[in-house]
Amino acid sequence: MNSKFYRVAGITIEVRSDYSITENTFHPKFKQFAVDGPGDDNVMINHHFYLPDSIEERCEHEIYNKSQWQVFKTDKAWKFKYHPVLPEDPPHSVMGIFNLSYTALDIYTDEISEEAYKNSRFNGVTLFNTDQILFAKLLCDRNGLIIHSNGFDVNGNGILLAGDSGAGKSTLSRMLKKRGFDILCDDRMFVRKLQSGFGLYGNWCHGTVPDTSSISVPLKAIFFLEQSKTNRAILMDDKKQIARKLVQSMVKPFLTPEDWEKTLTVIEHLGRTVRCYILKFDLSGEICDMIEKLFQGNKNLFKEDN
Amino acid sequence: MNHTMSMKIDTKRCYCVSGNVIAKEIEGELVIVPMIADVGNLDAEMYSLNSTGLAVWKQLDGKNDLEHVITALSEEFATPYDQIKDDVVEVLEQLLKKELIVEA
Repeated sequence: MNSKFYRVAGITIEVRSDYSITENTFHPKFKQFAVDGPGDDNVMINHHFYLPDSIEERCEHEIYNKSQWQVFKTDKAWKFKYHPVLPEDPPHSVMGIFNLSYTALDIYTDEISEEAYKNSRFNGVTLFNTDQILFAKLLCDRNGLIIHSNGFDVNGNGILLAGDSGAGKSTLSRMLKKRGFDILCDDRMFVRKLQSGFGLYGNWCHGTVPDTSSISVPLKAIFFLEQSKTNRAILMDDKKQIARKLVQSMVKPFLTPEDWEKTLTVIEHLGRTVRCYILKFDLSGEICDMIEKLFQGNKNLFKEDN
Repeated sequence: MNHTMSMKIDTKRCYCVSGNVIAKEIEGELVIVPMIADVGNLDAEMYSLNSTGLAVWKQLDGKNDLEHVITALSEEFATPYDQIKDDVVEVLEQLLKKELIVEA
């Protein structure tokens, strides 16, 4: 098989390869995203196992060079050159040439053998250390963005757990999982503005905890976490504070000014549309009851702080 | 782009927004995203200005010197010139230091 289709956040990614794609080419987490064919919104990725000719001449106008990445731009394409730096990075260098809308990608590497490709269990379809670069742009063009958060499905209601490192996302996530709620993704949540409200989408771009899901649910609440000795959820009504926290929580994308304008507009709508709370919780697990009851109509539990 | 080596603000000079930022007003605050080579600078902090900082920002058209800007803000906020001047200069020093504004 030389092609596979995966769907996430309503976007179908077709991966075509010069080599055969086996069940071990991509990590098992991709099985839940697999679909039979194209959808309404399609992106094509081609994997090639050589380097294109004159690649240096085609790489004009370097705009970023740090750590794993060199990024170049021409008037027709983006060029991403990735090479491993950290021990956990995929151990191969990759060059990606993306069209300006990121809907057609050519991925080149001469460091992966056919045998290795068949068994590598890649964590991403771009073969980079993350597919975040791809999705930041795709979501931007679809009224969406990536938020640094964990996402859960609480009885059909999507919630985001956001906050600084150490705020308790992992702790609360463990509690919610123990309670039986489905986690959509660890650390990176896809959000899209829809005709009515916002959608929350599980995806495969997880953080250190390999929790992923293809589930999508309406986004109903965003919780900005603070560890505490009590359990309280304080409805935020200061739109400026909400906007500030959402901007701080977004995964900063590599985008043009026009794309940034779109993304910040989405953030503005998000803050106006979805209820946001400061969530203070202790380690008792009681907060999970409170979160569940929020969607059972018991809004008395969530009052403005006095 | 002019690069001002000194961070000292001169009220007789004109200042304007750097060409290397994108700024958007969200809920009365200004979110500023530094750019590099016309894309978001992943290594730079994003900034936000409160409503006062936003009022200052909006005056930085590069045509009017800072004394004129301070006068306009003094009228906008119904605050004496001398009382508002130090705050405005402080805001501009921060913006200049972060290369979010430049001398026009």
